[in-house]
Amino acid sequence: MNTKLAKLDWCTHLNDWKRYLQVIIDDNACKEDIPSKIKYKRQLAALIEVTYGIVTNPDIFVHMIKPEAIAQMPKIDMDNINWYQKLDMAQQRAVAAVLTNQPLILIQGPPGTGKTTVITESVLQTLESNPVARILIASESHVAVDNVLEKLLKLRPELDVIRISNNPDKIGDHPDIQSIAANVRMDEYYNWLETHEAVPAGLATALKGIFTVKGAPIKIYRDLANSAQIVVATCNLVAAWSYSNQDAPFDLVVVDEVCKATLPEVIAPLKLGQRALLVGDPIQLPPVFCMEEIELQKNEKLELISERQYINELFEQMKHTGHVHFLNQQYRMPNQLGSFISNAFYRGKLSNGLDRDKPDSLYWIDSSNKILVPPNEKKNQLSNPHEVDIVVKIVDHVLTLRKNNQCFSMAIVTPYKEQMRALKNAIKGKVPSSVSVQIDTVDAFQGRDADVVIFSATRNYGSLRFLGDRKRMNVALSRAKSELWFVGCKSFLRKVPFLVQLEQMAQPFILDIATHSEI
Amino acid sequence: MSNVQTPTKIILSLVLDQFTPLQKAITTAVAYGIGDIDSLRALFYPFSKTALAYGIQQLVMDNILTLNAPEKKVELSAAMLAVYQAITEINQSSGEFLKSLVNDNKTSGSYKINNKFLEAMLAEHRGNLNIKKIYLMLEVIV
Repeated sequence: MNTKLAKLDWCTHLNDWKRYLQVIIDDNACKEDIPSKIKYKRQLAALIEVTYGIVTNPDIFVHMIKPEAIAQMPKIDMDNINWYQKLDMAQQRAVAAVLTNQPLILIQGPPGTGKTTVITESVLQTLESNPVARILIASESHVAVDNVLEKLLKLRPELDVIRISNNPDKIGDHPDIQSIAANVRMDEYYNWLETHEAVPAGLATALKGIFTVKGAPIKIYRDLANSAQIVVATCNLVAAWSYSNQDAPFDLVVVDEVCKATLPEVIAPLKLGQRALLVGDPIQLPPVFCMEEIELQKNEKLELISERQYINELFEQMKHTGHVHFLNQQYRMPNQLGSFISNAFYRGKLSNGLDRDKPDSLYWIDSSNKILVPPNEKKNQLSNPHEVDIVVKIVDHVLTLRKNNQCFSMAIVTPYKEQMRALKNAIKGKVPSSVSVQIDTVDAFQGRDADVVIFSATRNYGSLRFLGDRKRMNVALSRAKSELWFVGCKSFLRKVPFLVQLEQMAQPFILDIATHSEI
Repeated sequence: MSNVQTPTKIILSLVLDQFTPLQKAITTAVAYGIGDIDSLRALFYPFSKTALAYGIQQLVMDNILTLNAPEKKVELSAAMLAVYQAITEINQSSGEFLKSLVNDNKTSGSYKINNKFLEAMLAEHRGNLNIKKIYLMLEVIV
């Protein structure tokens, strides 16, 4: 039964975060992890700035702090909008809401509902209504911002965009994205300096020295950000930019995958914007904390930091004013999978946009085979060799079936890192290079999809842990565009009501795994 | 090219380490004789007019640079070059003391210059040209 929790108090929660970040910064135990400390110092600085109101538009924060006091969303006018992309009604309304003068708009996008489409359209329509608008696109992950960027550049390649990262290796390798990366732009500039005749002798070397000295690039990137119309970066990079009235303000700040970000990560870009668009899904993964962080929070009596997320709860609190826009059609999964996800996680409010009927889109391979195979457990790391063998067989089967149609993508996901490593080792060399295969943890796979997805539940004894976590399982089960192969111990997983529903929907399938010695 | 003597390394560090990299780059370009905004814009083409303007805003505000409002054109005035010249002179007369000061502060990781020291040093050079502007600039960087 759902018990309604009292609203998190903004000041208390913000102070908890400040204290927590200070503890991490002061903690000698993590002294060696200097990059992380810098990250936390930036986040703390961002929170302090917000505490003192050193922000571009305080109204964004007023909306966040007192959502109950916000006036109803004004009527949205969609008559005069020429759309760049084909959008459904909910998507159109969400984009049109961004074009109003409201300081804070939230968009809830369940799996496959076109969050990236809505973000890119919002950016382009903002530029249509104000051609000199400056826009910041941020997210907690490089992958998320690069997804948006790739689509944006496809639609309007001539846009004045810069992609900024302290670590160029993390920037997506798509040539369009690489060409607008800040480091690439600076390298081109150094070449120009050295070859341009009008530059006095010695000046090129002097300038390069100034721009590349330790600590300088991050500051230069900020100047480059001030020079571009659209800036794309992660929240943690943006956290390094304290608010300054010398910076050109951003008319719109977009934060993608906002529910996966921590409060300081979200706040860092928000303080730089006149208006904010937060896009995410509170029914998918929240920010992840490692065991050490959770332990530290427990010791400091700051458990609420990981137990509750202010931004995620904001989605519920702002619903009554019409400031939260729910994207209600999914375009990724076949009807059978889409309907399951809708009923299991969204109270049936999600419909199938493509109306693709595919009865053979879901299989459950029972990994128990009457005998429970205890996974290897070491420091909370689980692996299940029996399931690894089953997955290998499924991969063989899928490849055989699609021998003549190699143009497809495959993903193998599992909640456990150790299992992911075992799967990577087992699959290595078994898949032709023409087939795209991604093997990752559920947490890392949010925001991505594949034609065929194989899920290895791994755990088959004890408590359910990850497998009972609705948000994680929502992500795990909603990645497939064509087929989902669920590998798990039926008798163990029947403890989870929505998995019982999944089992009932799954097609019978007998996999030839007789060669496995344990079976 | 201007006839301004290129600042010595130590003075350049003293002045420039208080600036952002772009401000350092702008002042270095000035020291190399690039003296008008159009040339500066061409030289720093990856940075927009706005970013450049923000980079030199501090100098403009302190009247070290002059702003020609009707054309919205920022011109680096002769005063900027004079500042460099005068700073170099200060270095020549107080070189050893300044050097030791900078070296001492280097160990603490930053260049913190005592205001009183600067005032005393400036008092020695009251006869120099544009001393008010030098003072303003030094005040900014302290």
